[in-house]
Amino acid sequence: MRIVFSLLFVLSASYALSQCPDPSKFCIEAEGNQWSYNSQSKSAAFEKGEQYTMSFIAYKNIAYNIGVCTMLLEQQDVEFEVYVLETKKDESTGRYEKVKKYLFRNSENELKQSCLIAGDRTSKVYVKLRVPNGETKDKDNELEELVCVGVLIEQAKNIRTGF
Amino acid sequence: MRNITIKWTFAGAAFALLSLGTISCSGDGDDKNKDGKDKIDTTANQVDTTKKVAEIDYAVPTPNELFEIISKMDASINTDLVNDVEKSADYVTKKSQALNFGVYTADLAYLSAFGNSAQAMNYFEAIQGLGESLGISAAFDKALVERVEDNKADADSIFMISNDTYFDTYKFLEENDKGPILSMIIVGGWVESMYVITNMVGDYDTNNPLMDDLADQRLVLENILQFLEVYSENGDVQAVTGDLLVLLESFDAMEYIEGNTKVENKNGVITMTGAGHYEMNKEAYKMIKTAIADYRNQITE
Repeated sequence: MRIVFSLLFVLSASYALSQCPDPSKFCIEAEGNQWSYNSQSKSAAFEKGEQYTMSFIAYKNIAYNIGVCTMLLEQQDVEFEVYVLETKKDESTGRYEKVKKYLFRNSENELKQSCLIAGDRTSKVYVKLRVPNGETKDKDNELEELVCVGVLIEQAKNIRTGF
Repeated sequence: MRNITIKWTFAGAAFALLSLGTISCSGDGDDKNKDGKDKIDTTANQVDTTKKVAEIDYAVPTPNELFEIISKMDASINTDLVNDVEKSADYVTKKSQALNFGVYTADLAYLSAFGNSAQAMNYFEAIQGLGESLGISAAFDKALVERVEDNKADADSIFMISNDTYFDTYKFLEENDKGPILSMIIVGGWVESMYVITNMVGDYDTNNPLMDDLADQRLVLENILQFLEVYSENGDVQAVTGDLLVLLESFDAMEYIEGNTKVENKNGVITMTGAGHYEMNKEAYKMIKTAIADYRNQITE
């Protein structure tokens, strides 16, 4: 019996993991028609309270709107941060190391659920979020402890950054 | 700003993959220095090969994103560069079908980005045929076929549809646990994009803005390798990973220019300026171009 339950759990979890809709289906899109969907957007199911990190390539001179969201029944703010890794030489050891450079932390910005970034160099950007607690939508398709989270990336031509 | 050269030393493909994994792991881990900043040691001989790879979800831009940027530059199309559609029936293994699905997807993006909708249509058919062989024909529903047919004279629409097709295929494969096939499609698409661009450029030219775009592709290659790592138990993915690591060595002939990223908030837009980056040079360009051509020809032969 234990094996059957374990198998059911694994199958359910796998199903949940593969059934999160695209973030464009449940995240709030950026305002204005200059934005277009970027296919590096990601969604996946995670346990509540866990952290999720994704990385995408942000081409130079293009503005990206990064929005985060979940499929919780009641809207809850998602804590997230956006950063790049800078390669630096440690003068004391002579070794190169990568250091986080934060672009945005919504814990310092009234828990805003999106941010707008742009750069004069192509960058590898990381988005890290903490999956909040709450009641899950669409319980037929998901285990109660799992929730779909989404990182919606939209892009626009860089028109306001002055590069 | 000082110039430095970072070269990765590879004791072997597996070790290199672990190096990449450890970089990502440390980047997201709890290793902090006295200032509370996360630190990562990129020195190869310091890598802890027993460390578990962190679960970071690596995304890779589509060929369309790259060709959209390139098409805005002063560049013209060369239809001799794309892979012959007649060869699509010759690809019989899953590996060659998936890689060439990616190749044709990039060709479709290239042709449509540069306004050649007539030739692009043939590539839709080749992609559809390979999709059937790969068991992913469900990604090409009737609505998509009708959409292609209705817009076949409009290169902009074909370009958008080609991007949607790539994305729909991506989602379909992801949702149906066909990660190894997806991995190889991504690799084929990227290799073909690089092949087309390096041949559009021709010889090394320090004034050509495409040099910077090619140098930036090292970041994309990193994300592809990290994406493949998830499916590294698959034999085909292992083989493809080994091929990409050879390519990575040619990218490592570039010089890394250390930067100091300045982050500012300008009217609600967070801007990054002065970040470190790889810079192309003649030797690296020659190595990259040759390595890409060799691998592309190996895939498409």
